[in-house]
Amino acid sequence: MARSSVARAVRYAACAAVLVLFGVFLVWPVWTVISTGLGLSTPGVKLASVGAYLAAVFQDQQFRMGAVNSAVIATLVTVGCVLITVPLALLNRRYEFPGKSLFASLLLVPLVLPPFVGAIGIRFIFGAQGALTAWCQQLGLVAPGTPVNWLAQHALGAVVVSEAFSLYPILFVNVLTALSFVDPSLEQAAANLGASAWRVFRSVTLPLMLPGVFAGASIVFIWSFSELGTPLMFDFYDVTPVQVYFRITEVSNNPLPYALLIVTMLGCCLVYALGKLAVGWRNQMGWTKTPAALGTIQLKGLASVRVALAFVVVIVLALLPHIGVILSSISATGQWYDSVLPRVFTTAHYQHALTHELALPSIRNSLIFSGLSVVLDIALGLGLGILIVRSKLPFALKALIDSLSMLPLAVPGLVLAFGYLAVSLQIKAWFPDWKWLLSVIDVQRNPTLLLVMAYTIRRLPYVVRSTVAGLEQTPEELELAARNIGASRTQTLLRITTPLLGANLVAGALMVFAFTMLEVSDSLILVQKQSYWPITRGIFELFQRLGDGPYIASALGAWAMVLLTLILILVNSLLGKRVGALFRI
Amino acid sequence: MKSWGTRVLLVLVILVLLLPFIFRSLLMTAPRVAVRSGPADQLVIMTPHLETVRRKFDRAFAAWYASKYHRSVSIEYLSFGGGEIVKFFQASEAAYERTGTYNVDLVWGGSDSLFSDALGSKYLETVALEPGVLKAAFPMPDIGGVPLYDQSPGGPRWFGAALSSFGIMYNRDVLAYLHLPEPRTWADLADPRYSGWLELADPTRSASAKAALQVIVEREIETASQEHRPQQEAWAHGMGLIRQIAANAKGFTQAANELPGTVSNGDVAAAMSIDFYARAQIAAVNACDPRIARAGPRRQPRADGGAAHGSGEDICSGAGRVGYVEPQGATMVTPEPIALAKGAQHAEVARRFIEFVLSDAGQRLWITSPGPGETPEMALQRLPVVRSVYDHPVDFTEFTNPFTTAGGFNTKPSRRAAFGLMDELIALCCIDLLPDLRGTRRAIFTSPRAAELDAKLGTFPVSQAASQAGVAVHRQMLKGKPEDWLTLQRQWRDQFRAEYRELRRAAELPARQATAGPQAVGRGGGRGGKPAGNGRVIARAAVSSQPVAR
Repeated sequence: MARSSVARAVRYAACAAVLVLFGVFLVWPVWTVISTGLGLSTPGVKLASVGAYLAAVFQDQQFRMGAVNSAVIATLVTVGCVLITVPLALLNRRYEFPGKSLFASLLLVPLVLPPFVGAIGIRFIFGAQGALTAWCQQLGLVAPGTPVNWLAQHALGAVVVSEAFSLYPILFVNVLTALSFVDPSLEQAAANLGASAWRVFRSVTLPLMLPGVFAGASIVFIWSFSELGTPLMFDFYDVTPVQVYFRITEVSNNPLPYALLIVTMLGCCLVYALGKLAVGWRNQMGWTKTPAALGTIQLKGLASVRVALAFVVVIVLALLPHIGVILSSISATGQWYDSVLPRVFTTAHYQHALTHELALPSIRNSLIFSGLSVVLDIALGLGLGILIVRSKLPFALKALIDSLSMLPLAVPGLVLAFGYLAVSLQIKAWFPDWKWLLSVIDVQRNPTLLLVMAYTIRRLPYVVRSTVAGLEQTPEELELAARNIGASRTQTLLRITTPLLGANLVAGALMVFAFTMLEVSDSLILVQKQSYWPITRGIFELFQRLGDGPYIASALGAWAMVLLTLILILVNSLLGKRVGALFRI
Repeated sequence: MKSWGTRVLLVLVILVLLLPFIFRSLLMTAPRVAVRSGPADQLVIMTPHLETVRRKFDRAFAAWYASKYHRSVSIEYLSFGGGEIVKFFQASEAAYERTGTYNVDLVWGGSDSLFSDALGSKYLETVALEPGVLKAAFPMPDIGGVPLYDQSPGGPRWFGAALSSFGIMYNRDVLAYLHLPEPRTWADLADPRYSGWLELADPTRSASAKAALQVIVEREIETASQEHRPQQEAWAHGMGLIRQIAANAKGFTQAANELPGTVSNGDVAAAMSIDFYARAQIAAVNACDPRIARAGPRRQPRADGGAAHGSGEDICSGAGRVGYVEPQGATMVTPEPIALAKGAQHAEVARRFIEFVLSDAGQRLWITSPGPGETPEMALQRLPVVRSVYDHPVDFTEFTNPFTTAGGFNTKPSRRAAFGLMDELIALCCIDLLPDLRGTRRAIFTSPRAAELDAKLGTFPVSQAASQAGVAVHRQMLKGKPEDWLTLQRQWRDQFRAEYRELRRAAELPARQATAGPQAVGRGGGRGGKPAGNGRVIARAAVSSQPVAR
């Protein structure tokens, strides 16, 4: 009795701690921005008027259209990502063929597309006078001297394709991890009983890997619903995130975007909760994880070429922006124009970028900030995962924590960043004399703490989803057995749960690392002193340079991209041996 | 095997990390600026200016400061965009109440309206410059009606530090493909052959874009008043012209710095651009032959060689494809200010910085070629605000004198104020409804009644009085009562949407029926009796040109 009440106290204390964490680092900053935006601080404005604003959002045909477009994009992107990744993941699991491990790694490289210059890369390739036009002219498909506005053809389609090919790695990592939990003996049993390959997949493999698919798909869905950069790049303004962004960045104090933002965030949580209900909140499989004992089939000759081709096609399409960035970084200014490849090559941009005083300090800062965020995210994600899946908290509390952990995906980066800035200034106003507090809270002095927290919160969903999926796929019996034979909770956590979740944690950490290294909004707004600038700030700074700016930024971006890719592969191969299941290199 | 692969990877990571050091040791030729020992005076500047501007002024100011005051100075820059500056001050108000400082000394750069309206007396402090400095810098208080420094009674709170203007940047290759002449006026951009090949700047986000569009209407009103036509009609035509131009837009850009690249890459035929963005882009693209940049159109079309990775002349193959023009008689030139923030902790140093920026030496930094040991991008391509500097164009990169070109006609704040919610109206009818508007104008030009219907599109349905009346409603929102404004906004947008729908319907009617004619097309129908104006001329041009392939 006493013991269980202690356990209960611990449970609720942990739950309270989590809620406080979300309260301080997510709800408070976001609410500060929203309530200021809605004018709630102005005297005479009451909470009731918020209802009127919300009503105004729904009355507005423009906003309704934007929401529909966003939902269509998000659905199509999610479906597209599933269609890209599930077959590849299955092929990856089933067959052995030359270059397989390399392909599996390259599939993840889209994760490390640096901001700002990625769009430049796409524009050089698909621009009206870009590489594709020039190539079509050479092939005689397009008359010489005719520019073609590829990107303006079907803006919505372009947005969907572009997002699907940049977001699929999130799903791929999750699906691959989930597949590693699926016991092949079950599939073999089904096959032995005469089930067709499709039936085995549909009734055995798919249900077993569903937590992973859901984990990835929910992130992809919410991400693509709230994605800002891609629609902007294609001049497609009738989507909710762009409408919010346009109106928030206007100089006037229009409250509508903030009301729209509330609707968006609630909508995302609702969609997520519905999805979760559909898949089942308690989707626990009681199967032990098999140590990759699946008999892979060694492919030879034409068969291996065919399978490899599937990988190559996806990789090449997904890496087009990266190729664009690399080529623009070695093209003389303005000389990748009306030609398949740059007309004149140069290394001058690399000389500028890498000798620039920003290059080294900014990559060092980024590595520190990201490293800290990864550590924090792993710890938080693990704790949250256990709370959501394993703890005996009431269902409503679990659902709340689960939804809160997904909320950061739906909050625009700009809003969270301004929220942190406002909170920092607020604390400064409250405690002007607390030197030690100000030295860590005041972003003008040292943004490290708040920046790392912003990174951590923004990218927490990946780790949470990843660990939740892992926990749902591993049987609790293993942990219970350990407890039975006398292991403490801590011992169980460290010796049983964490190793079992190794692959999931690595998967989450890889994504957190890649995305925090290339995080934009927080980096631009929270970091003011140059000595704290992360690499994205450096890229932005060079990008703004007139004339050759985009090329030099491409050079710095390409360098960061190569470095990040190598680090990802290196970590993969170091951990891969121990973790075993994720990617074997 | 595995450990071997890992080791190779490790070596690669280290090699990539070392690249900057390798480059640095091999290539660093520029001498490092010697750091003076001893305590330096501090200065904190919040600025949207580019890194090159900051670096150039940083060095020059340090040298000037050392020679004049025999002290060293260290500047810390806070890099903020124009809109973010206001947000920063708003967010810092609580902290200011407690501490008495915003931790910022100077705000430098952005539009003049940012300083006069958004920051104003609330966040800015008056500055007493050393006697004579103001007189020397600004013998005339304005340029074509636009104040060059704050002339409010309490003393100046901001000073123009440089001039900027807005013009049209264009790509000659795309123009040739579209069979279009090089644009010379804003009205040229309304030619339907530009459809989908034009990029505009969002007037609700960029103050300079707003001013540039205002000039279009002001120009109409000016002409109307010379011809003794009612101002109401001029407003309708000016705004209508903006709508015809916007119908050609591929998009409204968010970041002004992306525009030059879009034009030089040939993604659009023309774009609205800030002057120095255009000049810098032209200089960079035409770097191999500076004469071409100034001489205007290149003489020979480039021999099309696909991907020619040659040497020698091929390097110049792209030269001269980008051009820039400031529409004659409709150019808007505005100062880009510098100002002292309230509660500045280093007010004395800040004042000296302002004096340096307004000095002849400081002003020359804007427009001169890179100094010894400096790379080409250190040419800032900006126009000085101090008139006397133009009298001695030594080592200049640009030879236009805004004081002579923009002297006659410029945007006037008094007139501007009478435009009401012009930028909001443009956002509603052009940006929010861009696909709608674009489709409508395309439909119009497939109709036999093209001229008539386009004239209707070119007549703005919301009157200047209504636009002005909207200001009061808009002000209510700023005071925290947005309901009326939200309703008005929605009504206007619905009105525009209905108008476009009607126009499309009229355009799709068969010719015979059309002559019987639906009377009212939106609310613009009543005012359709416009003499041969832009609309008709443009319509004729469209009929003669072949359909624009896309």
